[in-house]
Amino acid sequence: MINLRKPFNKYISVIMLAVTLILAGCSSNVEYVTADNSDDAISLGLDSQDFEHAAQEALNSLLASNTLNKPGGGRYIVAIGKVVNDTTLRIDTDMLVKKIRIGMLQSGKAVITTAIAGNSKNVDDLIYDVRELRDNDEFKQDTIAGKGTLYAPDFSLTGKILQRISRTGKNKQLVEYYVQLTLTEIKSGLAYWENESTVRKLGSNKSTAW
Amino acid sequence: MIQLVRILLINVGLLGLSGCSVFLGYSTDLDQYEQQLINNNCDYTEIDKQLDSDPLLWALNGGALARQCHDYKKSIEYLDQAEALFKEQELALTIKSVGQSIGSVVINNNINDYQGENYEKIMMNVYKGLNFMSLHDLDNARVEFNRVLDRQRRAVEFFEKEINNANTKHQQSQYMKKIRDPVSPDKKIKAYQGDITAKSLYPNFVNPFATYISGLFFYFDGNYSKAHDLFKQTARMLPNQQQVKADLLLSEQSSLRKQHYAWLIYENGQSMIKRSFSYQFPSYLFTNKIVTTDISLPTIYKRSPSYPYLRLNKQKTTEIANMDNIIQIEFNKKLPAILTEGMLNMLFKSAIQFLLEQNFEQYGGRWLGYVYQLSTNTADVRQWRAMPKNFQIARTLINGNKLTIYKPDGSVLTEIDSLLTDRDAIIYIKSDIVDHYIIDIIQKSAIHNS
Repeated sequence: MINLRKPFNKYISVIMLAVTLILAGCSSNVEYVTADNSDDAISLGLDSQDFEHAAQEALNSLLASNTLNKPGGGRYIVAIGKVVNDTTLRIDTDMLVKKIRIGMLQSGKAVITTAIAGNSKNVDDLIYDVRELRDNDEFKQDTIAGKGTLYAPDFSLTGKILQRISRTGKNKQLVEYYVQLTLTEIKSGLAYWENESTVRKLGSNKSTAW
Repeated sequence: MIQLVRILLINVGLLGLSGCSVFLGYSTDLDQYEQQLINNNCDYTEIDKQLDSDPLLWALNGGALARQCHDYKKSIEYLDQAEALFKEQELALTIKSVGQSIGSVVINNNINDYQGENYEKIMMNVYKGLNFMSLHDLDNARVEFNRVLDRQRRAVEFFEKEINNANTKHQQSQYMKKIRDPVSPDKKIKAYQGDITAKSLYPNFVNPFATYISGLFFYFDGNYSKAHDLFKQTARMLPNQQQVKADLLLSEQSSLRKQHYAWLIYENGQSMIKRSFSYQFPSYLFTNKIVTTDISLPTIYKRSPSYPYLRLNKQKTTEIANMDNIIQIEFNKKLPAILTEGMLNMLFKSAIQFLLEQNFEQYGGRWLGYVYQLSTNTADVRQWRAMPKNFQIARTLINGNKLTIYKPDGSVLTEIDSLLTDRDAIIYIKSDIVDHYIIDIIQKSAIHNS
């Protein structure tokens, strides 16, 4: 009779060893490409921290450019145009824009119009809903905004988020994001300020970046 | 001997848990699914039931069915599910493969969840992109087509060795020698207008249609430079594809032009499918302790086209990607692994017959082993069954007159008179068999035209 016990145990040992080895080599090793490489537990996608960095960088550049310093004082009116997401990630570009809007408002140099925007999500419909009440007897008519009260914007803020993915070495991929923003003077169509923030991430090439 | 009984008991337990698919394979279920597509039966009950047992395969199938039923949102839901599963598999692959290989050897590969193919991943994102376009959601469509392009890049990595080999052969070919010879009077060289690079070898390794349709999306999206790049890439893969060349030219002049066009995308016929191939080794000639030894392997078969081509007004559709070739090349790449697994499976089951006969001869041991082998000897023939045989394209001007799509015999397949004249359109026709077709019309909505 064949003694199966010994070889069977041997197989189990080999399999266990293989599994252990595989598990040991399995850490995903996703890291930022920065001088200190201090961040951990990040993904190859764009997260709120990345938006925070990119928005802050853009805002610093915008304020430093003095574009929003209105001669003679006062505040410019900025409309939010479209920020195109040209990546493989389903991201809400409003997350990025929101941080810049807040920064611009806090700077005291600009106000944001929500009467007109590149993306319908950034328009406050109530502005128009209230105006439709002009013939409604239920409302005190002199409290309804009259015609010709909305302000046209001086500038529009538009942008694009681009992504480049490339394999580096045998099993790593480099994912680069470029957050590009442009502030255009509406009257002249001239771009008064532009900025590009870059986010670079290196991770395993086993799967896709999204 | 106790160990042998244990192994058998574990196997029987596994077989019981994994249901009848390990005995029967998925061939019947997939054939039924195809009938459902042909009958335009939009009942998802069966798909949802199957989803529990083999989620990836049926999420893909569900996605294709819902798309065919014009339920684009549902199609995206299924395909999103498939994409998440692909990701899960990719990240877990090294750990899982040990257990999966054991299951494949001891029982058969049907015991494991479906793993999917590269071309399926690419097409999954293409269909999602088209679904979003149909829903006028260009922002999400853009994301999907960007995913398509990254998957194409990954496909090139997957076939790196094969592409390099093909390139080396191409460089050493007579044709290249003639090109390098400056005094060659060869007429072929005079006719040569494109550039012959490694890229022209790609068509079967990646899917030229996926690059082309991504280009078309970016054209619709107003990103003419990206569209131009992608049309150029497609043209380099297919130097003789005249429609792609024409689209490349169009994308160069696009920002100035006033005319609008309708593209016909035609998915023709049914792709190659896997069937089971069995072979019986005459092992009884060598030992009487084995009844016989069978091996079952998947093999692929070509199927018929639907209409060989269609005509959009006067424009005849021309092929841009041959899905059969793409499927075959990917199958061939996996064949050595499939063969090894099949051989190990056969050896293991023969050993079981042998051991059972040695220990339980009085109970008909080898016959018990043979029954086990027969009942589990089922090839894995799973694949996404909604692929066409090939993709074809044509384009015509939208001038306010109705567009007519003709069959090859000159009879009318369908007429379209609902197109707006101030924007471009895609007419997407899928015809798996003659006299059965599904049509989708994609035209940018007025709201999104801003």
